[in-house]
Amino acid sequence: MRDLTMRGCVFALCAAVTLIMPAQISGQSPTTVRMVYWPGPESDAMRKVVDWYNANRTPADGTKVEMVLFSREGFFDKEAAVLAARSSEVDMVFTASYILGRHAPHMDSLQKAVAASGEGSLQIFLPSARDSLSFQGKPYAIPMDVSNHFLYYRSDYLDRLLTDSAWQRRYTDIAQRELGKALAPKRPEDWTPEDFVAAALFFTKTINPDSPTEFGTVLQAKNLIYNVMIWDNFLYGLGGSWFGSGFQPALNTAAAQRALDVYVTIAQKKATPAGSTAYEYGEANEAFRTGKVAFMVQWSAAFHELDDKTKSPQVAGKVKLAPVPGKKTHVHALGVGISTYSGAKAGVQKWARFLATTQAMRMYAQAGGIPPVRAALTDPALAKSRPEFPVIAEHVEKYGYVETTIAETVPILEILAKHLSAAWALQVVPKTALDRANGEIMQLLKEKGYVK
Amino acid sequence: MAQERRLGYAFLAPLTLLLLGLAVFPGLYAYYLSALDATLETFRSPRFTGLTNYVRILTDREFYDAIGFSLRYTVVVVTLEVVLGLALAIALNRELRGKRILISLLLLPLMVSPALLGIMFRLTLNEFIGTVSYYLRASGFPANLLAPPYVPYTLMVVDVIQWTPFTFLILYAGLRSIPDEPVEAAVVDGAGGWQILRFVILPLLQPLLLTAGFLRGIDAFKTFDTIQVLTAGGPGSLTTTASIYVYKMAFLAGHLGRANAAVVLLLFLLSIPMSQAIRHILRRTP
Amino acid sequence: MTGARWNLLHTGGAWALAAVCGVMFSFPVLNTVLTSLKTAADISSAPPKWVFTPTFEHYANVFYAAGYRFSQFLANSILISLACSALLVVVCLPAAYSIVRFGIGRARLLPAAVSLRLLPPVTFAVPFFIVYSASGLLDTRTGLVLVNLLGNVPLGLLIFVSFIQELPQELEESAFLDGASAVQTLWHIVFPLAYPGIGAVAILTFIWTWNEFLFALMLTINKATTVTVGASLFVTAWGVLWGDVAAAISVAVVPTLLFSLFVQRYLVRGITLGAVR
Repeated sequence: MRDLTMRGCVFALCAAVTLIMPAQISGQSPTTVRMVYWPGPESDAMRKVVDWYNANRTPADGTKVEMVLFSREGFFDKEAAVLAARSSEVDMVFTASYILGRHAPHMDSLQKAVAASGEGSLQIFLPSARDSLSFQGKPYAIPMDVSNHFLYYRSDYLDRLLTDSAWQRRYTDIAQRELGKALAPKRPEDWTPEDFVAAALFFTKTINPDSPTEFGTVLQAKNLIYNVMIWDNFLYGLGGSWFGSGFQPALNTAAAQRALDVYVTIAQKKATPAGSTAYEYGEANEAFRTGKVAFMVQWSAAFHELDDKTKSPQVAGKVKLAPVPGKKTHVHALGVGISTYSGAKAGVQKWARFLATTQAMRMYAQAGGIPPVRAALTDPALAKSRPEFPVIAEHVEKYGYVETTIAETVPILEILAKHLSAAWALQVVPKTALDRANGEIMQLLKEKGYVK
Repeated sequence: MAQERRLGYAFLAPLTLLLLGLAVFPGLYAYYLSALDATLETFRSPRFTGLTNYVRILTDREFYDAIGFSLRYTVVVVTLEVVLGLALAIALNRELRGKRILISLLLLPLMVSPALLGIMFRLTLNEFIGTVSYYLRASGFPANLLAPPYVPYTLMVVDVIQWTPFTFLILYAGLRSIPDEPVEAAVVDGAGGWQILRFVILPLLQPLLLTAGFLRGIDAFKTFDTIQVLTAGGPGSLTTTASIYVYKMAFLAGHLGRANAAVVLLLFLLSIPMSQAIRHILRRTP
Repeated sequence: MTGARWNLLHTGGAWALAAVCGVMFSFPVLNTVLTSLKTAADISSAPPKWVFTPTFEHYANVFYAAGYRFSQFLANSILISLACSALLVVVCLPAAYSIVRFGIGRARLLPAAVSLRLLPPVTFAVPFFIVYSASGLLDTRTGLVLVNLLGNVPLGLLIFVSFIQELPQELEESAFLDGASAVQTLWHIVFPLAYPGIGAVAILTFIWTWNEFLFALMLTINKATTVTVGASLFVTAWGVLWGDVAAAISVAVVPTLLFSLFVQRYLVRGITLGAVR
C-alpha cells in the first residue's frame, strides 16, 4: 500500500498545483497607489494615515493607497532591483537621505507634484530634513521621519558625579592616570569628546571598582553603514568632515584621527562591552536597558523604548538626553517619493500632496512616527507622551548636519564601515584604517569624476 | 536500442526545458554584465569595458581574503558535518523506540531559515541577555562569542549545528538502502566493526558521501544569510565570505559589473571541485 | 530488514551520541519557542528565565497585527514547498535514471545542472526580477516554485544518481524481459526501490524551499510572500521584535515538522529484493 500512497501523493500534488497556480495573476485597479514602506514603528504609524485617507478622502480624490512592506533585511537591495528593472509594480518609493542619490535617477522630482508653498507643499517640513532629501538641488521625497543622535545618560549616576566630591576626585585621578590629563567632571550637556572618553573610563568597573555600572558606554562597532553615521558625529564634532574642499576626501586628517581615537581608546581600555564589535542599535539598547552602561550615543528613536516602564523597568525615568559630545548630530530623513515608472502618476501626486499637510503629519506623529514638522514635534498635547519630540526638533535645527546626498553616499559609508570597524575591533591601527579608507574613497570619487 | 535512447531523451526533457527556460538567460546575463561598467544607477545604459572588471577583482586583496576565509570555513564545517552526520546515521540505523521523533528533533535546526536562525542567534549569543552567554560567563568562559578572536569559530559552530542534519539525512537514507548481503558476508568472514565500516560500508556509501560533502561544501562556501545577519562580514573584513563580498560589491558599492565578474571567477574556481565530485559520484558502469 | 546484525556502535553509544546531538541541535529551536512565550521584559532578563508565566501576545501579533497577513504567508509557503518537492522528484528521477542507465546527459547536462548550485544567488536576483516582471511570474507562487526547483535540481539529480546506480540492474532487466516498458520499469521497480532517496530529497527540497530567503524576498511584492520573508517583517530598523520573530519561527516550523514526520516512513527500504522477484 505504501508505494501506492507515495506515488499517488506525488501525482495528486502536481495536479493540484497546476490547477491552483494560474488563478493568481491579477490586474490592479488603476486608481490604486502602491507605496513601499519598511516594517516597524514607521509603517505602524503610516498604516493609520493610509487607513484614514482611504476612509475619508478616497471618494473625493478617486485614489486608494495600498501600503506594501518589504523586509528590512535587504530592503534597499530589493528596491534597487525593482527600480533597476523599471517595474511599474511600485508607485511610491521609500527612500532615505543616504540612499537618495541612488534612487533619484529613477524618481520624479517633486517640484511640480506638490504645491509651491503653504499646506500641501514641502515648506511645512524642517529645512534640514527637506535638504537631506534633495538631489542636485531638487526635492525628490517627502520627509516622513527624521533621525538624529543623542547622548543618552543615566541621570542618577551623572547627577551624583556632579555632587559627590569623592567621585569627583576619583574622576580626576582616573583621567590623569589613564589619559594623562587632570579633567574635572562636567554636565553631560557640556561634554567634549574628551570628556566622553574620561567619563566612560570612570564608569568602567575594571578601571574604577566603585563604578555603579560595568562599562562606561556602549559603542556600536559592527561592520554596518549605520554605525558609521554614529561615529561621524565625533568626526564632525571635532571639526572634521568627509570632504575637504569640493569632494576631496578628508579622512586622513588630524580631526579624523582624533575622532577614531575616541572609539579606539574606549575599546582599548575596555570601557565598552567586549562584544561591541557585533553590536548595532538593538544590542546597545539591551546594554543600556540592563543597567550595564552609564551612557551612550544612540538614535533618537530609542528614547521612547528606554523610558518605557514596562519595556525598560530598570532605567525608565532615569534616562536623560544631551547633545552628542562635540555638539554635532548626523541627520537623515526617511521619505517617500514618486517612481518614474509608476502607472498612476495623477493618483500618486494627490496622495503626495495630502502627505505634505500638517494634518497628515500630526496624525503620523500621534501614531508613532517622527515627522520633521515643527508644528507636529512641538505640539504640547503630543509632547506629554513623547517628551523627546521638542528636543529632536531643537537638536536637528541647532546641531544637525548631512554628510552628503550624492549617489556615492552608500559606497563611501560602506568603505568606512569596512575599515573603521577593523580599527574599532583593534584589528588594524587607526592610521592605517584611515589611510586605506581615504585612498579607496579617493579612487571611487576619481572614477566618478568628482575629483580630478 | 534506438527506442531506448529516445526514451532517455524524453526522460531528460523536463529538466532540459527547465534549465533552458529559466537558467540560461540569468547565466548569460552574468557574463554580459561582467564586461560592462554597470552600476545600480546606470544599469540600463552601461558602457562596455572589456576585461577591466576582471582586472579590478583580480587585483583586489579583499577578494582573495574572502575566498581564503570561505575556504577555511568550508573545510572545517564540512569535515565536521560529514563525520558527525555519518556517526549519527550509523547510530540511528537500527530499530529504536521513538526513532521518528528523535530524527525529527535532529532535523529541527534545518527547519528554520538560516536568515532567521541567525537573527535568533543574535539573541542567544547576546552578551547580556543571551542564554548561552549567560552560562558561559557563569562558568568563567568569555561571553562575547561574536568578538574576535572567537567569532570565526562561533560562526562555524552555528553552521555545524544547523547543517549536520543535512548530511545525516542523506547518509541515513543511504545506509537504509545498503543491502544486508555484503555486510553479512563480512561478518561471516569475521570482520570487526571498523573493518566493516572501512571496507564494506564506506565504499558502498561513497557516492552519497561525496554528494553530501559536495553539496554542503558548495553551500558552505557560499554561506551568506547567517553571517550577514550576525557579523555583516566584520569586524573589518574578518568574516567576509565570497558571497558577502559579491553582495557588498553589487548592492553597497553598487558595482553590478564587478560583482558579476567576481561571480564568473568563482564559478570557474568552484567548477574544479564540481567536475571532480561528479566524476567520482558516477560509477564506471554506464 | 536492516536489523541489529551489523551495528557498528553499541546501543548505549548510539543512544548517547543521538541524545547529545539531539539536545545540541534542538536547542536553538526550543530556545526560540521559549522566547516566543515570554514578555519583552522576560526576554531581556539575565539570568535567563526558565520558569515564567507564558504569554501569547506574540502569537496574537503574528496572526492579527494589522497588515501582516501571516496566514496567507503560511498558505503560500505550504503550497510552494509541496509543489516544489513533488515536481522535483518528477523532473529529476527520470533524468537521473536516464543518466545512469542510458548514459545520456552524463557529459554535459549533469554538470550544467549541478553547476546551478555554484552560483551565489545574490547577483541573480536582478536578472530574475527582469525576467519575472516581463513574463508575469513576479509575485506569483508559480514563479517561486520554478526558481526553487532550479535551486534544488543539483541536489535531486546527485542523490538520485547515487541511489539508482546502486540498485541491482537484474531486476530491471528481468522486468524488460517480461515485456515491461521503460516507463513501467521506472514506475514499478525503480521508484519503490529508491524510496529512501526520494524521501530524503523530498524532505530536503521541502525544507530548502520553505527556508529560501533571497529569491522569496526579491521576487515577491505582497501576494506570494512566503512565511520566511513574512517572519523577517518583525525585524525593524529599530531592532528585532524578538518575541514576534520567535513566534513566527515557531509557527513556521510546525508544517515542516509534520511533513518530515510523514515522509520519514519512506526512509526505509521500500521492498525487499525477494518480494519483487
